[in-house]
Amino acid sequence: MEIPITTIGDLPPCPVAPDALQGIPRQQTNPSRWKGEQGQWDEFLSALRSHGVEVVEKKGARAVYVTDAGGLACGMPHGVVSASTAAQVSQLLKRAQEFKVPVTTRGGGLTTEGESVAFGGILLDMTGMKQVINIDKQAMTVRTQAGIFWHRLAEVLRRQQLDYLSAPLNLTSSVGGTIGVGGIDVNSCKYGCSADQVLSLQVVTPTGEIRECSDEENPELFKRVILGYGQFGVITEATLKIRPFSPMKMHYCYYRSLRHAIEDLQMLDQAGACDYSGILTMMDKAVTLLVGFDSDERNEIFMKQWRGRLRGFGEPVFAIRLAIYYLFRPWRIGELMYLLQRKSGLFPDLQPPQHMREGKLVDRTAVFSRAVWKHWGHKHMVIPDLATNVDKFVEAVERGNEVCKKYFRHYTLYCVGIRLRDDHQEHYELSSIPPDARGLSYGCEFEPMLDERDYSRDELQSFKNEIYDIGVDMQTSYYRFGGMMKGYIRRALGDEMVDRHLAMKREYDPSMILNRDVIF
Amino acid sequence: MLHNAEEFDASRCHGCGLCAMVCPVYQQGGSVMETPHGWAKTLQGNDVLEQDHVFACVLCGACAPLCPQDIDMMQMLIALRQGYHHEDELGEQSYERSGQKGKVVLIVDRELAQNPDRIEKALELLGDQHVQLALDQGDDISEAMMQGRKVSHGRLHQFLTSLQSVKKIIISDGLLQKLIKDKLPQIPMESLGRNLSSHTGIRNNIGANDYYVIDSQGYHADYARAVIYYDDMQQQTRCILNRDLHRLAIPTGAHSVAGFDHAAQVRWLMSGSNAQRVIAESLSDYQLLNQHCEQMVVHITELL
Repeated sequence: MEIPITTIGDLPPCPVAPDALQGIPRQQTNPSRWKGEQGQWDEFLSALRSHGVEVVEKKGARAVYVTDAGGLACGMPHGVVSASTAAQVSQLLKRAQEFKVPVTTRGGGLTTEGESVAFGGILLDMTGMKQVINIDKQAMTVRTQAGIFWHRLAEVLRRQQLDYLSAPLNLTSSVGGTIGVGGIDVNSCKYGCSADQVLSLQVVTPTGEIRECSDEENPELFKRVILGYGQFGVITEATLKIRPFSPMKMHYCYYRSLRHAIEDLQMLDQAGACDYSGILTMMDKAVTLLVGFDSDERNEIFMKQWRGRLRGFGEPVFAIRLAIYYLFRPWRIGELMYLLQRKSGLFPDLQPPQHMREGKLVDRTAVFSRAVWKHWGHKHMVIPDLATNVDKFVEAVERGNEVCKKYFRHYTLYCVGIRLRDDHQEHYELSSIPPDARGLSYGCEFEPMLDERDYSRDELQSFKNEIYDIGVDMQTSYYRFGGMMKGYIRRALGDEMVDRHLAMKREYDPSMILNRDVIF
Repeated sequence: MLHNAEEFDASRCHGCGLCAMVCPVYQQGGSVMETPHGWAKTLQGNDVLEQDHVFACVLCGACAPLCPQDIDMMQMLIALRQGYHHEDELGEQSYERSGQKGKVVLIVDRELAQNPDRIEKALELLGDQHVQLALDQGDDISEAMMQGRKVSHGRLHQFLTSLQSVKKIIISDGLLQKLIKDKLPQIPMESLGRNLSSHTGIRNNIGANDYYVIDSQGYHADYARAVIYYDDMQQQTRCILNRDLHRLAIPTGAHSVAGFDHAAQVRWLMSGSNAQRVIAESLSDYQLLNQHCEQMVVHITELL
């Protein structure tokens, strides 16, 4: 076999075509690198520069974007454009259409399947567009540039004792990127996904038109861009709902049974009994139901009306039950040690004293953001997920849990509910919100701990595939269904829906330049 | 200048971007290439770091406590800067070697060193602690670290030896504070701002209408203890602190050696605040705030 010669920093085209290994559990690989035709790149650069768009070609500057948070998909753009205005993005996309050069947009780069990695062409870094334009305290809205990190937005809003409604736990994600995929918070059971807090957007279409859109203005574009995985335009500004800031009162409830914890979570969500809720596990041995409240009144009502109905335990009782369990299973002492070690490291970081006031977590955004990276961060991150309606969720999680056990000794499941908007049903098409979900949908992330040994890409890919196969079997959706996992989109959501959206994509983006290989 | 990623600990960077999230240079509109994230990724890509990108840093140290990989950002930055001055090395200095064993010594930063009156006032406020000025102030080392000049092993040894037998160090130079903490962890040490702000008379003079500007370098050099101390201080005085959601101290950018928009940074510091007076721990912050603040600005030594 001839081994291709590579140079540092450049990856050769993957020799395995996406569908070349049918029947073998490896569904997707990196897409091949765009090369363009002779002279095409240079002409494109000249055209861009003549329109005032600067492209950085230095290798070091491109290397910053070589991979995403997943660390498994690697690719180098030919050049990087750092956006500072919508007009600049517009010029870039117009020239890219003309010269058929792919453009990959990137905010915080927190994708895991290579969706924000450029396999050649232009990497459009949006994080330069990070100004908060206006805060309207009467209307309780904020207008912001879309490249801003949620963290910065939180900082600006906090100066006026305000907060956003919901944002991803990882605050180095950008507002625009989040709106494009959804954005799930522990208060999504109340407020829905981050994308649903958007009132209006400024979007640069793939052909370079700068358009404002909302439910009233250019509603079709709005429908496509929200949860559109970056296929129908680059979001440059967003108007979001905001709310008064409030610290969070949290309670933990511990379970041995995933099913019981999920059923209790769903009971609370459906009753609207708490402002924050989610499940975080250490394998399926210690299942923690987290509930939180924005006010003392809500907390008191919960304690009176709901706490007694939950089947989980407080920490002391759970610790005794766990001790008894392992007392009769001394050969599993290693597992117990892991649980204790993990708990002693993680739980203090979820309630650090400097972020607590009178028993309440003041800066959940800052606390969760660092804890996510400290306790789950790794050079490689594999987080397959399943997104289902209410009824299918328990089964999906239990089946996914069995797959996790098969592949890894240690892993975490993270489950959360998402309140849906009836009037946004069309936004949800071809997205992480399953087509059969109404009222609430649920997502579960299956995240293995990868620091015990080195895993091959194929091993990790096989794991992801087995989780995603459950989705196909149960006809659910996925949060991370793009990039390397895009082969599952047709299988899970069907040809009819995908073909319809592909036709729309061709209409919006005739040269198919924007975020190529992410969905289509 | 080609640096090596392994040598600078940059190979451990996962690229989470938390450092960029709190970097004042980046937040002011700078490029990701001017943040530790950018430096690490450039080095991992075996490419050359541009000198401007390394020298854009304002040395506040806010990135260090946040790094989930515990990469020593300040050490990385100083080593990277030194890479551009490899011919130029700071040698040993002459100073009086006798007698500070068992004493409490004060090390002052460059700005304070140029103001004997303020040093005298600080010593007066520290009076009951019987503080002496350290014979070797290490100001040349601090200057060299900031500018990226190498410090010879002999000079470093000479400085640290002079401090080995002291009882306690009070210090207003954040860069040296970190160096001493790393090399002489057994010696009790406290920032001057922290020490003075715990003085009863001064503490009683700080109130809810004050915006208290912590010296960011010193704060981040001793983050774990400082965060608790200033939490307590804020609870007691109800003053406003220059801290962000991560409880990191937002810098004024006084230690920048390259272009940094101080006026914009001060505007960001003060935004949303209705404080009537600004109190600065560090003299360099005081001078800068005086230029750009509408409110009355005082140095902490003026509070009593």
